[in-house]
This record gives sequence, C-alpha cells and structure tokens, in this order.
Amino acid sequence: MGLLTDTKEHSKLIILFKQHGNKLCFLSYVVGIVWFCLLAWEPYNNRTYFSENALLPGLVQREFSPGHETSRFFQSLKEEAGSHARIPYAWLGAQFRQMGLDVYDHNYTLHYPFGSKPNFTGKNLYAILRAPRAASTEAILLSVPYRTPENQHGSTLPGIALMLSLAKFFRRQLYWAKDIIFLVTEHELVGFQAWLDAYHNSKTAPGVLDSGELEGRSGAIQAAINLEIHSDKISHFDVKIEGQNGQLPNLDLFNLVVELSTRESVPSTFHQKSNPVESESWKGWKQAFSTLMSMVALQATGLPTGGHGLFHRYAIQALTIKGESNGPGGIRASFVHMGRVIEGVFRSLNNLLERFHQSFFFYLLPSTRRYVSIGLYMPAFGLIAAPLLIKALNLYLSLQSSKDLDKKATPGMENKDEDAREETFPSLWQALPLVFSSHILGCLVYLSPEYFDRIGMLADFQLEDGIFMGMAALLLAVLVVPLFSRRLKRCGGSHGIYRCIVLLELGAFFYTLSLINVSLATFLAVVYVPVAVLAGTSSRRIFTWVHSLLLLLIHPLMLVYLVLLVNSAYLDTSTKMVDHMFRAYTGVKKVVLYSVEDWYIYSNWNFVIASGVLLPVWLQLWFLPTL
Amino acid sequence: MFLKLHGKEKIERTFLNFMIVSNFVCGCVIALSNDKFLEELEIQPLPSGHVYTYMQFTTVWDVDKRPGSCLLAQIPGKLSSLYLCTYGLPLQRSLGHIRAFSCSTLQVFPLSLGEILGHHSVQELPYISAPPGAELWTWFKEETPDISKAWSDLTNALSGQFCASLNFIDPTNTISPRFSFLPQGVASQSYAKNYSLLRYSALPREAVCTENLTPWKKLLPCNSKAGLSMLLNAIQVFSATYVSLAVDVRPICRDNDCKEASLELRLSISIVFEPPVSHKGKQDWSLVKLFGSGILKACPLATRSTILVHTTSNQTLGKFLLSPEPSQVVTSSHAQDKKTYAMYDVKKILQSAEQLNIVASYQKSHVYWITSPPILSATRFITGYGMEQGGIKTQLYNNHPSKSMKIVYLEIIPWFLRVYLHTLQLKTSGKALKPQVVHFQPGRDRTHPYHFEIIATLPPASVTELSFQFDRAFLKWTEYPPDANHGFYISSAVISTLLNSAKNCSRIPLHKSTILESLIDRSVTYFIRLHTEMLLVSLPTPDFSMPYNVICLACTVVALAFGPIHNITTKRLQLVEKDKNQGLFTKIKKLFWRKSYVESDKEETKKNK
Repeated sequence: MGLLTDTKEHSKLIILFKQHGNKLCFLSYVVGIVWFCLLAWEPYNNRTYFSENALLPGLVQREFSPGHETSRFFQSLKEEAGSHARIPYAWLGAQFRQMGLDVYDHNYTLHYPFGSKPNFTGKNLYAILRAPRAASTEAILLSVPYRTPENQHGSTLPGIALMLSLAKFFRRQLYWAKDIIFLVTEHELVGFQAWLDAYHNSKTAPGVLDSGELEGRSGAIQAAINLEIHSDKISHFDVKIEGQNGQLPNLDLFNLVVELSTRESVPSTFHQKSNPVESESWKGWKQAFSTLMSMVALQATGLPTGGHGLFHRYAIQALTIKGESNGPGGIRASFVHMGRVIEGVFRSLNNLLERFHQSFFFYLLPSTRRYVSIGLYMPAFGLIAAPLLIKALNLYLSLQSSKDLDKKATPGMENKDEDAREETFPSLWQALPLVFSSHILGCLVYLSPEYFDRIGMLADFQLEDGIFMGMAALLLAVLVVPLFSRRLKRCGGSHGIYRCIVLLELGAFFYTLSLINVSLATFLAVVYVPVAVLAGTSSRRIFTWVHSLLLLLIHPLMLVYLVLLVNSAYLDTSTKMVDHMFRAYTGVKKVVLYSVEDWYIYSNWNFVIASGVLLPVWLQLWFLPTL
Repeated sequence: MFLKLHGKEKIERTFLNFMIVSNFVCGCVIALSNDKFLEELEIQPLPSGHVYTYMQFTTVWDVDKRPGSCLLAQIPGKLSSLYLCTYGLPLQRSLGHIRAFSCSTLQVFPLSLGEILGHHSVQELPYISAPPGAELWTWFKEETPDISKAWSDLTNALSGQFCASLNFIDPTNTISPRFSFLPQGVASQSYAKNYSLLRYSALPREAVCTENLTPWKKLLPCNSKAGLSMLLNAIQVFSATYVSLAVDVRPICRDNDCKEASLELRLSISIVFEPPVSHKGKQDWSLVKLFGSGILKACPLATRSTILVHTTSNQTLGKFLLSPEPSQVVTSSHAQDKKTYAMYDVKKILQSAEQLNIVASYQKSHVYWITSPPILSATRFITGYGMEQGGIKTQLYNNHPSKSMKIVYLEIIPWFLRVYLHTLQLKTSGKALKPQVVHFQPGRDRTHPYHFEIIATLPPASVTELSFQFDRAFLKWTEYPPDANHGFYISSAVISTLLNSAKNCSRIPLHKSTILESLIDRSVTYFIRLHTEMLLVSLPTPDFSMPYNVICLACTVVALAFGPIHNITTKRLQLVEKDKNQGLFTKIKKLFWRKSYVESDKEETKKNK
C-alpha cells in the first residue's frame, strides 16, 4: 500500500491537497485562462525567425518582369471563362503546352453518399515544369482553385493569369532543382482532395471519392502555395494557414511568405490584421489578442480555410496567399509585385535541401511577426484542463478515506490483515457498464447518418433535415433515460467512482486533443471543465437543476448552436435576436450535415470526435445525478 | 606490370591509365597491335524542341592471342572480364518527356553469344540508357578466385579513375541479376548463364559533374585538344538539360568468322540541349551555340571522324537549313522506317577550311506538339503517405496496338524498406496478370538489398501495374546521413525487352561498334533497356537538434524516475523489527557467517527459554 492507496500514512501534503482541492481547481482554471490570454502580450511570445537556413530568402533576387503579358493573359482568360461553363481546359492547356510544359488532365468522380446519391464529376488541369538536370524526385506546387467572377468567394482568374505568366518566366530559368507543378482545380476542395489522392495513389474516401488516375507525376511534393488572387491590383496579401483538423504548415513557410512580401512592399496580413507596431501597451495586446483569438476560432473548427488545408495530411507544407483589394491602405501592388513575391517564395523553396523539418509545426500566431510556440501555450492549456485531474484525484482519495473511516468505525477491524484491506479498495472498474453503454451510444450516433438519411428520404425530408432530425430524436430519447433512474442505480458502484472516471476520461481526451488541435482543446476545456468539475458536488435540488441546465447548454449540438448564434449576432448587429436564433438553428442542421460529409469525403475528424468521445462523456455527466 | 603497346604512342600514353585499371582485374598482360580509333557525333533535333547530341569514341585493339596472357585471347570459349560503367544525370525525366525519343532510355546488350550471331540487336535512341546517378555492372571471368573482392577492387579503382563515389558500392547495394544483364560482347552460352559472375550496382545519388568529365576526357587520345572532343567544353556541357557519360569495355569479334576477339573501349557522352528556351523560341542550333566552339583541328590519331545530322524529320516537322552542305547524305532503312542523315567528314572538311561549325537555321519558331508515346514506357512512383508504410507502383505501358511484349523487370530495394512479397501484384486493366517467372531475393538488414526480377508478357495496348508494399525501418542513429530529412533514394528499376520495330529509336547493334555501321544494319529485333525514375523516400527520422537532445534527456530522467515514484505511490515502507541487543561483533559475524550466526542465535533463544 502506497501513498495514494493508503490513507493511514497520508502525508500532510495530501491532507492539505484534499482540503484545498476545490480552491486549487478554481485557481488553476482561472490562472490558465488568464495565462492563455496573456500569450498575446508581447513579453509572453517571441519574434519569428528563420530556422531553416537553406531557404535563404534574403539572397533571392527577384527578376520577374512580365510587362503587359500577365494582363493579356488575364483579359483572354476572362473572355474564355465567359464562354465556358467549366474551366477553359483547351485554352489553358494550350498556354502551358506552348511553354513546353507537360500538361495533363485529371478526371475524378464524387459519389455523394447521401440523399439521392448523385454523382458529380470534375476535371482538374495540371502542368509540370521539369527541372533541367534534375531527376524529378522533388517538386513544389502552385495551385489555384478555379472560380469565375460570379463565384460567391470571388474570382480567382487573376491568380490563374499570374500563374501562367510565372510558368512562362520559370520555364526560362536554369536554376530549378525541383520540378514545379501548376495545378488548377475544379470544385474547390473536392478537386484538391481528388488530385492529392490520385497523386499519392491513396484512398481517403473509398466508395465516395473516386480520385481517378494521373498520367504524369513528379516526385515528392515539398511545399505548396495556393493562390487566391481576386483582383489584378491588390491592397494586401492575406496569408491563410489553418488546415484540416487544425493542422498547420511549418512556421518557416509562413515566415517566408511574410518576409518576401515585405521585401516587395506588399503588405501581408494574418486574419486581415497586419503586424502591429510592437508595443507592450494595452492597445497592442488588444490587437494581438483579437488576431490570436480569430486564429484559435478558425483552427478550432478543424476545417481547412483554403485548398492548402488538405495538403497537410500528406506532409506537404502548404498555405494560401489571398490577394485582396479592399484593404485599408489602398491599392499597393500590381501583378509584377505579386509575381515577384511568388517568384521569391519559389526560389527560396527551390533552395531547400531537406524537406521542412525545422522550426515549428505547432504554434499560435498573435501577429504576422510574432508566434507562440507549443512550449508556451501548453502550460496555459495544461492549467485550464488541470482541474479535471485534480478533482479526479481528490475524489479518488476521499473515496479511499471514506471506506477507511467506515472500517475504523466498526470495532475489531484494525487488526485485519492486508488482504481484507485490498478488498475494500475502490475499484474503478465498477464504472465500466456506464462508460461502455455511453460509448456504445456514441458509436450508434457515429453510424447513424446513413440510416437517418434513408429514413429522411422516405419521409421526404430535406437532405440536412433527415440526418439532423434523426440525431436530435435519438439524443432526446437518451435525455429522458434518467427518468428511469431507479433501474440505472442497479448498476452498482459508488457515485464518486463515476465522477472520477468521467473526469479522467475528459482529462485524457482534452490533453490528447491538445497535441493535435490545441485551439479546439482549449475551447472545449474552457467550456467543459467548470461544468464537469462541479457535477455532483452537491445534492441540493436547486443545484442539480441549475447544473442540468448548464449541462444542456454544453451538449455538443447545443454548443454548436450557441457558437453559431454568437457568431451571427457578432457579425450582424442590426438584426433581431429571434432572427439570429432561427438562423443559428438552420445553421446547426447544416453543420451536422457538413461535418458528416467532411468525415465521408475528407476524413475530417470533427464528427468522430463529437460522436465518439464528446457525446459519451456528456452522457455520463448527464446520468450522474441519477446514479 | 609489363605493358607492351604497339601503335600510336599517344594512344599508349593516354590509355595507360585505363589499362592499369583493366589490368587490376585482368591480372594479365595485354599486348596490342593494329588498333583503331573512331570518333562520331550524331546530332538529332527532336520534335519536342530539344537537340540530342551523342558523341562516341570507339577504340578497338586486336589483342594478341597468347596463351595465358589475357582472358581476351581465349575467346570464344571462355570469356573475359568486362566492365561497363555508365554515369548518367537523371535522364529519365529529362528525356522522358521527349516523346519522339520515345524509347527514351534504352541500351543495347547482347542476350547471349548465339543471339548476337543471330543478329539480335536493337537500334534505339538514345544510344545509351542511363539511370539517374551512377550504374556499374561487370561480368567477371570464370577463373576469378574471389569475385566479391575483385568487385570491390574494381569499384575502388574506377572510383579513383573517374573521381566518382563508386567506392560507395558495397554488398548492401550490389546484386547478381539473373535475367536482366547478360554478357556484353562475345560470350558462350554457358558463360552467360552463370549469373554468379555478374555484379550490378546503382548509386542513385551520384551526380555527374566536371570532376567526372575531366578524367573521362583524358582517356581520349587527342584529349580535348583536337577532334570532336574539342566540343566538350565543361561549362556548355553542364548547362545543358541533360548529360550522361558512359564507358563500356567489351570483347568483340575481330572479323566475320569470329575466331579471334578484339577489345573494344567505347566512351560516349549524351547531351541534350534545349535551344527554344535560350534562343527566343527558335530551335536554331549550331556547334558554336551548343558547345561554345567549332572544331578547329582534326584529331590525327582518328581513323575516322564523322558528324551525322539526323534529317529525317526535316521534311515533316520544323524545316531547317544546314550549312555548310554535308559531304554526303546517308539513308538507312530498317523495315519500313527510313532514316536520312547528313554526313560530315571532319578530317576532309578541315583540310580546306579553318573551322567547322555546322549551323541549322529554322524558318519558323518552334511549336510544341502533343507527341505520341513510345512503344514501351514506364513510370514509377511511391504510393501512400506517412512514415509507417508505403508502396511502390510501376505502370508499364505497352503502346503497340497489336503485339504483346515480353519484358524482364528488375527492382532493387535497399534493406531499410522491408518489402513484402505477398503484396506483389501484377495487374493489367484491373485483372491479375500471371508473370512467367518471379525471382525474389529477400534483403537482410545492413547486409544486402531486396531484389526481384519478373518476366511477364504485357498484352498489346495495355497498362500493366506492378505494385508492392513495404515497411520503413528505423535506422540506427549513426546510420543517418547528414541530411537525413532529405530522404533516401531508391535506384531506378530496369526493364529489358526485345522490340520488333526501331521506329523513333536509334541504337548501335550489338555486333557493331559505330553509328555508321549501325546505319547499314538489317536486324529484325532490337533489344532495349529502359530505366524508370528513381524515387525519394522519407524514413522516420529523429529530430537531430537541440530539442531532440533535450527530449532524450528528459525521457531518460522520466524513465529513471518512474520506478522510484511508482514504488513510493503504490508500495508502503514497513519497519522490520530488529534484534535489540546486537553488538558490533555479532553484526560483523552476521555479515560473514550468516548460517552459523543463525544457528547460534537459535541456541541463544533456547537458552533464554
């Protein structure tokens, strides 16, 4: 029997810990949040720097000077785009071919898994510039998703014109050590996913996305730049980095783009915020904090913010450069400047001897020139989630001592031998039935979309209604279970054990998640920790009621609803609250459908995380008062 | 070492170096007489806008047939040591997209003596097929006592000779292929079957540069001071799109009876230029533009010095005018394929002119076409992502509309990629294709590579996919190269086959030595060898940096601390009651005579009672 398992010899420290556990929880939570907010403050983060020396951005001479060529490309492309419903393949292909590049088409089919299961076909176009005297073992990629001016996300035709112009310029250069792939995708992310799957001959979504075959390939792709340039004259570059499941590109790549655009006097922003003048003032913190929070918010969604987001899974460092013309500083750059930035980036990438491995893959950015490394944000997150573990340990210890007290109360028990004491030792296995059944339910939800969709089709529901209604019905049914609480109590086991296990599971989940997507983990921890720690602390009726209400608010679906509501109200202050509520409700339905879709097509983990871990834990918390 | 060289003094001197190398393995004396030296350059403008130049310097010695002197004298019964050393810059990709070149990286090799005599050979462009990096293969003579040692000696000697890192060839990247490489030159059937005499190795990472070209040029009798070799200006050569150097040594028949053998040394260099890129879209070329200078002097040692310009495409594709007028127009026809060449006799021209500069001027700017694929082509790539597993897939295209094609596929995989034989699949348009022969030799960690050869028949007009899976091994931390995160190279796969048509291909027949001889050849089948791309594979690599060291240290501390902490938290320390009245003496006694002490102890207790 050791320190943790024997209460007799508990040191003073442990007794103290038991007495002040709750205060410790509170303190840790509050300090964690404050610390996390402070990360945006200058003394708590660092200036970015180049870790990979081979990039040599300072030595890259930029010579791109296309004259009016890019504008000509842009004009003809606009005309072509006007007369074609899809990508003007023939024209684009001919342009690339005339430069002496290898041009290929890539056909793919999406078998949409829901509703009437329609099939969508798409066709990407890509060209490969083979580096002279190199063996095609490495490549860099420049991509543009094809969008006509009518597209709601804005036209990308200027980007394609710039790409053509760059391709022509690159072709004349002798210094390339890596092949350059120029990719124009159709249907946005699906096109990217299909192309990447085909390139790596892998199947991310078997049966759903038929990625087709590629005729020509280059070697391992070292980095990818995705261009979304909306106008021929821009005010600034906005750099987007958040990828699928919260993955980020190497910080060096981000630094490279920022550095080179600074050198070309093209302002670069991150989340539409430029680098504030470095100051330790309140104002400086406020701007940095809002940048940091917008990154956290976007990363927490786990959705890619552009085509680059899908590359990260294949260990390809990628980001999107978005050229916008509505910046505060007015028009600052034309095609030449944009082209030179990209030329610089590509020449730097061409210098790489090894694939990106230095610098950081896990970081948060409070501005374009400052970063918070994993070593700085992890302690803050650790403190926010720590109450779960503190409370769990506390519960476990008190469980122990209460049993011991029982024993002491009955006379003649002191002389019992060790074995007998072992028997009374609380076994956490007692919580197994509850944990197991809640996870089974989670699995059911995970498997349900296809069936609910089928039922929805029979009932003639809309696509998003079918799945959402089904799930809502299932979850509502489960909510009612506590009414039959007497039956549940037969499961046996003590209340403390259940609480302890729930806290431990939640803690393990959060800490694991923080290694993958710290933003999501922090967000969930901030919301879940207080409710989870307070669960079952008091048996007073009023407390139970209030707590149940809180719990309902953090139900995964409800949480999505609240987030959408806040977002909608924040973005649009003129509308009435009722409208916002209704808008958020339709939003939830879409979010459920999209997250299921993303799981089927892109292997986005949001749906799995929600149904496989978050929901079961929530259910365990919900059942707690009745046990 | 006794070296007796007849003939031209110059050759003697310049070849001395190489002969020392040769003798290293031969271990015998070569006596020479009646030797000849031929230099040839073929220039072929391609529809892809490239200009392909192939320069070949052939030296043939008639070796004395002296018993016990040299292996070469014992032909055809017993065969000699032969070396072939091909360095290539990655041809695959550079030429892979030159479609008209179609049979882009192909090479001649005899299958066996019988087949050579049966005129089995292939004429194919480019003349020498080379994988990216360096490739070396050698047939050793039968009486070589220790082939492994001879191989290691040879690689080291060649490494010194050509300033190449061929000394990195060791058992971990050497194999003895069964079917893909057969003896070059004259050889008996029985000899050709004894593949244990063969060593093959490829170093994909080796790059060709000036330090390889200089020693290579020094092997030429006129060095680079006269003759065609004047064109080999390092700056021009290495700014070209593609360069490949090759050295072949083989025994050949001295005459048609083939009673005696001669030793042939063939030095060749293939260079591909891309004039439209540097000349404003026109394919114009000239010797001065391509090589930086014309030919000022003819090599007096050369028996013949010829420049051939391929003019077959002059009628169809972009028309060009040649100046000066060629000395002669040569036509060769293989079955239906007719080829015309403009021939220049360098010696003759330089008698009257001061300088020879062949200029081709085009009327129009170059237009890039969609070029038709070659009859046989292949691409190879890595499948999957992540650091745990992976796979390699090769797509073999048989583009012949009606004829199936039998191929030999050779693959060498380094030991650190653990290949699973059961995952090896051969599929033609979705259906499994049964290979005729599969020879698989499993690799062994740090000892030898995985190697397999497959003989299969590709159906006409089909794409056949060959794929297999592997696991990535962990290397020991000292085994990583300095640039561990660059990745590890896998050398090209080698595909060999016999073709029935020499369309779009150029090749010197196996029984011929020079390009000019090949033009009058009447072979029916052509042996070709194709190299696929080399691959770059990432292995799980530790972070060799300060944080890595910190992590290692922290993990060690945690590992050390775990035991005590686990003990403290899960076990309880209990006091053991001690004997109260023990003196110092008894303690010492207890230490040494435990048993007797215990006994005495018992007695004491009895007494006490």
